[in-house]
Amino acid sequence: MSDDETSPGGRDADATGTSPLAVVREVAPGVAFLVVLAVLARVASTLVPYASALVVAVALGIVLTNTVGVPERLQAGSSTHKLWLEAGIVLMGARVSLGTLVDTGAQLAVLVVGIVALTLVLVEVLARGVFDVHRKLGSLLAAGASVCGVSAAVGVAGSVRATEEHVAYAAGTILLFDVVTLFTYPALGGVLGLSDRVFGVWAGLTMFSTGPVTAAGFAFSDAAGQWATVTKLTRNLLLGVLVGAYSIRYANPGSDDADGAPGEDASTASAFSPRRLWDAFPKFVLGFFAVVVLTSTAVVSDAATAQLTNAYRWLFLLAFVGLGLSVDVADLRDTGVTPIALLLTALVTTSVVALVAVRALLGA
Amino acid sequence: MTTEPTADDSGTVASPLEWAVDRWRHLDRGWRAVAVAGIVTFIAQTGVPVPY
Repeated sequence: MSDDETSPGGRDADATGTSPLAVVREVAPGVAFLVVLAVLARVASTLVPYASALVVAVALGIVLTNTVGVPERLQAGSSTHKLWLEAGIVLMGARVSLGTLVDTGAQLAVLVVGIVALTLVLVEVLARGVFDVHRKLGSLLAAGASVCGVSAAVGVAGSVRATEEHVAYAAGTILLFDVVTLFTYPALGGVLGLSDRVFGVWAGLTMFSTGPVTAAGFAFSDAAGQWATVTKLTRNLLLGVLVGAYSIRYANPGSDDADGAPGEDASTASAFSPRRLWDAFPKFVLGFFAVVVLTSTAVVSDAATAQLTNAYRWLFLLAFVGLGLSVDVADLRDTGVTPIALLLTALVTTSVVALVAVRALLGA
Repeated sequence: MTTEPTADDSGTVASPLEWAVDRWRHLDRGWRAVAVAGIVTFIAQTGVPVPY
């Protein structure tokens, strides 16, 4: 999943050639490729009983990129998948009731803060006390597992002054879990007989990256997908806090940052600056809440809401085909056993705790 | 931050379209997603069918 996650906001700051024609030439073939594969995934899902179009889309992308490969000229367009995912999530707000969000907001916030804190502490403790993983790699894995997968690991990399090797290692490990949990969570939810709401919140609390959480949720059911995405968005909001907290922790003169990037400013005074928090804030979440309010207050017509539902399903298909195309199985094979064992221990523990907590707070 | 088309270092004035593309590419991905969603919402409001 080597996409445009060079910064939390994903700016193409180094983009060259702003001629409109050059941009179209660069991006359009890959986007058209995504559209074709999305249509194929949609058609295939209607032919295979119980197959979720979104899971078929991810699987199609993984198989294609690891067998025939993706031509160089299609890669710029196919790496836009995060944009389509976030645009789809914004539009998904049309199906989420403002009243439901208000009613469950406090419980959801408690669950999110509790599970994020538990995961963060657990991974840090396991990394140092049990698995003897390098401190900075442990922090990257903790950020990725607790908040939002690869985006969080990349987001805090500057704060902990991690090396590129650590970032690549953490990203590979997290992606491996993204792929595995995407397919196992819906199956597990079915075996456990979870309700749509419980499954969605559980997946949103414990799976790592936003794309796989959304895909797994919708693979279970539409309602579960909406709950999973809302829960995951709430988790993502904590990225800014996490970046600031790690900046403070690693700014301690006694911290072992000898192999960090030279000249990095990690002063505690700037760690929680509004600018820093705003940079790490996922802006599309504001769009999501705006759509929730607009559709709940009847500014958007019912007919248009139905259209938006279909539109976000297509955007998700584009996103998940691209997500699959970004999975390089060879990279995943290079992931070490120790970080895998570490994250597996943490994931099993937090999943059990989260499931008990969700059932206790939200009912069966 | 550039707020309107201006001459670049070589003195060439960017067209409004080039300026817009340049702004778009430097925009945070989250805002780009909101813009895409806004365009889709506008199209949906006009009644263009979106089959699934």
